[in-house]
Amino acid sequence: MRIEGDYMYFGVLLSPCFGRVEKIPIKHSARIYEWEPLFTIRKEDGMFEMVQTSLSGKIESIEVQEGDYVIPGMVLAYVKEDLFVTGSD
Amino acid sequence: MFSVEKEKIKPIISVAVDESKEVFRSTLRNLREPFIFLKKQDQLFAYAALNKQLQMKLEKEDFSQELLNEYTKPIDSICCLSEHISFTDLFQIIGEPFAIIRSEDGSPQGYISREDVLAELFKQENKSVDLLKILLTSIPMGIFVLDKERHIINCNESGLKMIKSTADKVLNSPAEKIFSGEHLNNVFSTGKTLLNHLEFTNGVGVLVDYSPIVGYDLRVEGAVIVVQDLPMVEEMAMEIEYIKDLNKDLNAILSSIYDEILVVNAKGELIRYSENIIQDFWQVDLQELIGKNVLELEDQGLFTPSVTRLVIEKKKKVSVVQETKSGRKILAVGNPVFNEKNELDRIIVASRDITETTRLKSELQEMKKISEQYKKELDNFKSKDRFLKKLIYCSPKMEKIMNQVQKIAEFSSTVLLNGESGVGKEVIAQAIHHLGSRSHKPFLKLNCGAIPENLLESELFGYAKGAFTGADKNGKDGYFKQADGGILFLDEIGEMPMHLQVKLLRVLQEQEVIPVGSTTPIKVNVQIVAATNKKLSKMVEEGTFREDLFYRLNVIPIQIPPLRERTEDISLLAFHFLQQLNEKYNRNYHLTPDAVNVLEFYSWPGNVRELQNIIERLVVTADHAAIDAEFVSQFLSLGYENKKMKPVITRVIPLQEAIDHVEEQLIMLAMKQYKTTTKAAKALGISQSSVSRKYQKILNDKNMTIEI
Repeated sequence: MRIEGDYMYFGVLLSPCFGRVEKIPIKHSARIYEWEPLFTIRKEDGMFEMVQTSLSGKIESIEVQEGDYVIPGMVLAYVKEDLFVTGSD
Repeated sequence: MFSVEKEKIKPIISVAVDESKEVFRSTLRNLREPFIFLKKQDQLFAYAALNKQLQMKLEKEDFSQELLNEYTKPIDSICCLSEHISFTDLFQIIGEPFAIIRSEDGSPQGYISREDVLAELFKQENKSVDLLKILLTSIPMGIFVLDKERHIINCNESGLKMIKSTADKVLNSPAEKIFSGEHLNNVFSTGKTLLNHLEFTNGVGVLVDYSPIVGYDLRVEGAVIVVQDLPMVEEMAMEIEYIKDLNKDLNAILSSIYDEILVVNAKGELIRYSENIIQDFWQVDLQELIGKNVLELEDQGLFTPSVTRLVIEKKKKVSVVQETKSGRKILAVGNPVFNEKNELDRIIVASRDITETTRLKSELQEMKKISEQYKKELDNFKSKDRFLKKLIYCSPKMEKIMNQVQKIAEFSSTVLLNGESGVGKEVIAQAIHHLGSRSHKPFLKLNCGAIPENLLESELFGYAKGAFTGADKNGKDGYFKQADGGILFLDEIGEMPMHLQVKLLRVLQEQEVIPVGSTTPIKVNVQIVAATNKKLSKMVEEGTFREDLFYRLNVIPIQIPPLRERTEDISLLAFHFLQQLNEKYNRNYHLTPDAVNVLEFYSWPGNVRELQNIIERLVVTADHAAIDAEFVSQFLSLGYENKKMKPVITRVIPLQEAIDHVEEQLIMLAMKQYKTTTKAAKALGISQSSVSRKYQKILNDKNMTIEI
């Protein structure tokens, strides 16, 4: 039995809609920047939803896989946030 | 083992069933023994005890065989003994009134009564012959005998061993001390036997049976407690104790954890939960939900989506942020737990209120952004300030120019800087860049005199794909394109070849460039700052500079005065350069006041650049920290004498221009040094009137009023 570490201190990346995870171009422990496209979700109406975030930092863990069905509010990834603003926006 | 005395063995008087009445009657009548045996086919098969009552009855009934048959008992239950009796034989005797003794060939020899056997037994002088003791010790279970008062009156060794006690402690003590009082009460009041009770005495787990001893009047007169020692039971007991401990710890951990923890089984039924419950997340009391299905709550619309359902569906860890009706954000993480068969066994749902965290995080983010913005602005101010600090001046002339620059910077008009070499044209151009709205865009500097004539075009305008041999494959952006949105500083604009002047003019006019080898113009937005040390108006007259380009460039002309025309700045600049060098080499050189005087007196043909270099030379060669006039004049007078001896002309220029130039310099220098035309005329070796005339002309040319 394994229970994840203290996720409280991480930022969360949530799914905004119902749909299926189409593409995950990021990898575990990858560095992400603000507004970088992270997940593509194919919604029920066939439209694609790009998941972006205002967070920048390191991917702590990715919680879903390609092909997973997601719902609004579901955590897609935990992000260890940077303590500074990268200002790449 | 003991043998029976011969006289104790009594003869067997038997009668066959098929014997005639006469024989039967005479046998019974003559019988002196208490037992009569019956024979069938020459085998003993039954016996009857002839007590007085039976004898009387038989006499009355004339010894009828039928009557006797009613009192006979089968002989099967009677044991047969040899003449030598062992202890185990004794147990066979106890239940019956007598035992038949067989002879060595197996035929019945006689019988012996129970009383005689027991009497014989007690007669034996053997200490170990304690029947009860033998009985008790030979049983591999613990046995405790209780009397009516429930005191233990007897027990065996194995029993003591099992409860880890000694005989003195146990005997005559109340049984409740060791065994369950409740069960004892039960046994004594109901007379029932209680079996297989797990009990712990002195830390040992044993299996206990309670059995009453019932007297003749059916009243319970005592009890026997049988104790079984099961190693398994003990192990189980230890494990149970351990699990109890674990359970206690688990509850303590659950109650002290910050998160709300729910344990749900594979069906979705709530098994347990931690003490810390997130307020208003569950609208019901969790205690009521124990054993109920959490999934049903979702159906009732209590909250959706349920993490439990997602975990059951996906069979892997799921994290969801849920929002309560009051707008609190809950991060719920569902972790599946699998059994050995890899089936879903339990789901642990840990929930945490992240409302505050989220709010604080976004606030922090906001604050970070704001502070970053402040920092940027501060940096901006600092750099502007630093830049303005780099511009060292105090003369009203430069003051005027800087005011002009600040105004120009706000616009994108073309600027034409004019001034002698080393006067700081580039610094002014940079000031326009820094102070203006284009400060974040590039500032590119191009020396029109330094780049070969045939390359200049491709450098400025760029070239298209495959424009010429050796060109970059993908083409190249020219300076104009690169400086798009910013400032292009064209130094030595006077050196620009005529045919490029046309092209440049086009760019300035149309705000677009055509790369070499291309026909499509590209729109550009570039502010042009041109600089020259030549008199462009004169070049226009001579036809070496295009008139239209000159007017195009000459939108905002800035004339930067040479250093000798703003002597106020000399000392300031000198101190500044000296300080820079002092800081750089960690020295402490300083100029004496008379040294400053000498510097101010010098004409500085190389302007600020020369001043900077002279100061460096002073610092490098100085022997003392104090740089005095004598030391300074060594360097300056040298140049002075050189000049006195022969004005140096480095390139071919029209003779008249050179003569005019030298004459102008000489007159100005003389006037500055001697202040009056008479004295100047004397030094120059010409008449006072011509000095006066020439001086007047120069001043007029320079558009200056007489200052002296």
